[in-house]
Amino acid sequence: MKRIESREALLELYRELAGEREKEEKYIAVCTGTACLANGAQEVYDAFKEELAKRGLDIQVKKGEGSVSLRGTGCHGFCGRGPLVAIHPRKIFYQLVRPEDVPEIVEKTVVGGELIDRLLYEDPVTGERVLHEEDIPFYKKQMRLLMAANGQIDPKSIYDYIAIGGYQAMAKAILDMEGDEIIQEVIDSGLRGRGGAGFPTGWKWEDAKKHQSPVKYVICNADEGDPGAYMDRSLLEGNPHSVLEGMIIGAYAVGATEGWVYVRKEYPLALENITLAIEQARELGLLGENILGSGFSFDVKVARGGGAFVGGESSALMASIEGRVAEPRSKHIHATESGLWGRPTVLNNVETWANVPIIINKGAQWYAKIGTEKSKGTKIFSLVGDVNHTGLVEVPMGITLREVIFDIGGGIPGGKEFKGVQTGGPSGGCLPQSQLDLPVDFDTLDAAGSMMGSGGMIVMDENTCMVDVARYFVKFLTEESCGKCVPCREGLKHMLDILTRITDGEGTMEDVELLEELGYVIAHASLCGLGKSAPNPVLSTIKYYKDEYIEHVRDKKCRAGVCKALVKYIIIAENCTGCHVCFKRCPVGAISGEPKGIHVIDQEMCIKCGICKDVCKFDAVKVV
Amino acid sequence: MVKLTIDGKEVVAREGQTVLEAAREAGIFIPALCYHHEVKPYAACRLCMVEVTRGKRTRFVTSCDYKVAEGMVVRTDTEKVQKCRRMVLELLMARCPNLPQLQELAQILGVDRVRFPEGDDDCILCGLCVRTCAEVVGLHALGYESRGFHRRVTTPFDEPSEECILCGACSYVCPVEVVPVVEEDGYRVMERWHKKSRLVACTKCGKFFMTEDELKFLQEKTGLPEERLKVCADCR
Ligand SMILES: Cc1cc2nc3c(=O)[nH]c(=O)nc-3n(C[C@H](O)[C@H](O)[C@H](O)COP(=O)(O)O)c2cc1C
Ligand code: FES
Repeated sequence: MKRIESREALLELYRELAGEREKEEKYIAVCTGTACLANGAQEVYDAFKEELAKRGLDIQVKKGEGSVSLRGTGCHGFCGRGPLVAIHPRKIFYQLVRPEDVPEIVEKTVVGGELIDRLLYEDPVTGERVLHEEDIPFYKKQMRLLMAANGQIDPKSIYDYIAIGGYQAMAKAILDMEGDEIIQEVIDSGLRGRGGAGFPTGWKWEDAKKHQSPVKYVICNADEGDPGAYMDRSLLEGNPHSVLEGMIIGAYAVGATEGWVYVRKEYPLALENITLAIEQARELGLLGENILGSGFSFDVKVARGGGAFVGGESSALMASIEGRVAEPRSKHIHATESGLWGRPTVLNNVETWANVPIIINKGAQWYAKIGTEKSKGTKIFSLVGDVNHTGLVEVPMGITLREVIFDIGGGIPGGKEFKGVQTGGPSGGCLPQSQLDLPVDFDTLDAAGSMMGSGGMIVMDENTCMVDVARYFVKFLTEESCGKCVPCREGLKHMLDILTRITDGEGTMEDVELLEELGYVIAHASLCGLGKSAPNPVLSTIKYYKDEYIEHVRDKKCRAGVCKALVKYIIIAENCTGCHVCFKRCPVGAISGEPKGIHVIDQEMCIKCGICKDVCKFDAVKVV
Repeated sequence: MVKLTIDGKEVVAREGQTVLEAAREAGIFIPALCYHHEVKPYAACRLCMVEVTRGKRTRFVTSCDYKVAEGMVVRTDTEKVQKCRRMVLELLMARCPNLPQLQELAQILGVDRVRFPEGDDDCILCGLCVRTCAEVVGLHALGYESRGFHRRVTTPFDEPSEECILCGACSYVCPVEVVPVVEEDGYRVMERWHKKSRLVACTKCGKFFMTEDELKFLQEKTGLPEERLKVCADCR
């Protein structure tokens, strides 16, 4: 690799690479993000490699007319339908691709220009086959400022990133702009932290810039401890240079000389790709001494997170990099004054950093047009649960929950009713039907009793018990509490006990009041954000689903049929055909009845495993 | 000098002092279990929380690690403060039902019931012993084990710590007095840390006054000859 010593050299390289890309007539992008890999994307990629080689089409082997380049790219977001393959230039989008499909794809689509119907996405409403990614309902309402590049580049190649305009924002920032100008631009853009709290990024930078120190740090928080959330992983895996570019710009703006990327250790591919990206950037001179001849020097190191949820909290994270126990401490003194090793430090989330090059390239004004008054830009959500299309969705702030769940997510599977959506990760709140038209932004979600958090979004259908949901999340948080401060350590444990009591049918109305009182104190008196937000699942479900709490406590009923202590399995005599299947399958022999006769469940013996209901073809087993 | 008001009272504090220190010097009571002036604030018990107004902004903060500032208005008796304090104490009393120090505090704060099932612990996890050992003595004989509700203070692997010199600082600093030190048959014993060490007698008066481990520690630290160290404070 040849070092890039000046803006001109970078521009020249860009022109050359972009030109080459334009000449690339055909290319195949196979998603090799973690989710698609788990569905066999590597085998699909290998099959393409082999097939192209066999036909002498591989551009690596032979350049020229008809040759095809193959890219393993980052996550495209539609993970529920992986492995995903896009065939350019026509941008034909194939989903659920298996290695066996590959020879046919090369033969028919790549060479022959024909479509293979069965691999196209079928619109569940119209039944029509959709050709292009952007026409699929899942993508239509998205605004993929950050995610789009994931599908275009090989994250292991810095040249791919440069070819799509990468590092131009950095060049502009460090060569043409003063630190204050950059900070003003970020303030004007309205960018707020994507890691949870939504703190204005520009203000944070301004504060760090203000504090004089020969050593300052910038840190990228890629600890992503929310179970089920993986937007940071996808960005770091799929487009690590965009994060790095953001960090370089931020470091220059505040006067930092050293950066850290703190990556969750369960993210091997993200770790690999960011480490490689740093090495490549260093080799090209985009990191290190005197970047592009600007006089600005900066380098980045990688640290691995231990995997605890609280390890992603800012003060715990810095303690961990310093080699101390990852435990939060008071933050009356901001990290921007005294952070990592007591030096002024800017800590931002992966997604926050990835927004920075876009803001510098397109300008604050352009950026601030996207979103609501106080929440600008886009946000990536990880849409999961009882929803037809799961995956990563990037939407403009201000889109409604309804649009995300029903238009992008395709609604609730199996014709079931929507019951609630939990936003913001394990300590987010649950919002009901009546709140579906809320615009998704930091302040609206907060006011409704939930939060943006880092962007988890779990959809729940009618078969969900909201008390059980609250219990489930409080259990997670109780286990993840570090135990340092009293309200979080002791309070959450008692919350969990009370919720368990209620789901066991042993709760009282005083218990519900006590939950609210505990919730207030844990939220206000805890030391860190874990405790401060932990009562959300409880308080929001009491707020929106109080009926269900009352039913559990007073009527000893669980309407969703989830809480075992409160349900009974019975056989409806009219529906029972005497097929005898439940009799045979019941693991404890609780069902009696002769073949062709009516069957009965012995309530004393029944362990409520639900097998009889699952195996009954005649809808004769009911949960009451 | 920094001027502020605490509960309506004008208070003059020194630069760099915490709100808790300033309040105490002014005779205003703020409960605090994890604070000790000899070690760094830890802000874990959350009993010392107060409402602080600076300019337009009111914040709910721990007074043990919040620094005084000119013109600051502090309230230690708001409904929010009381509600949180009482609940925190109630939670600690459920964890440790048999500590007289907590019961005394309950009288003062008006906590007259405990609505949670009683545990059988005696450690409130204020961390003062751990921090005193590390920050004052300079050793790491104690630490935490497990997280969340299962967190405990213990010696490494629950074995007698090799670092521990039985100086007793942890015992001295424990606000609920559950780290007893016993001297018997020429030994100093700390049951809680599974540790015992032979006592050394003063070469002048003959009284036992330190442990062999302490002597060794002092020798290493000061480089002084054994004869000089083996004289007790009274005879020196
Ligand atoms: C318990 C807990 C866990 C957190 N985990 C993460 C995380 O995994 N990733 C993250 O970016 N921020 C996490 N945060 C938020 C960070 O403390 C911090 O606010 C954020 O990284 C700042 O970056 P931002 O301003 O760009 O959002 C967590 C906070 C808490 C209280
Ligand atoms: S004394 Fe301030 S939190 Fe314990």
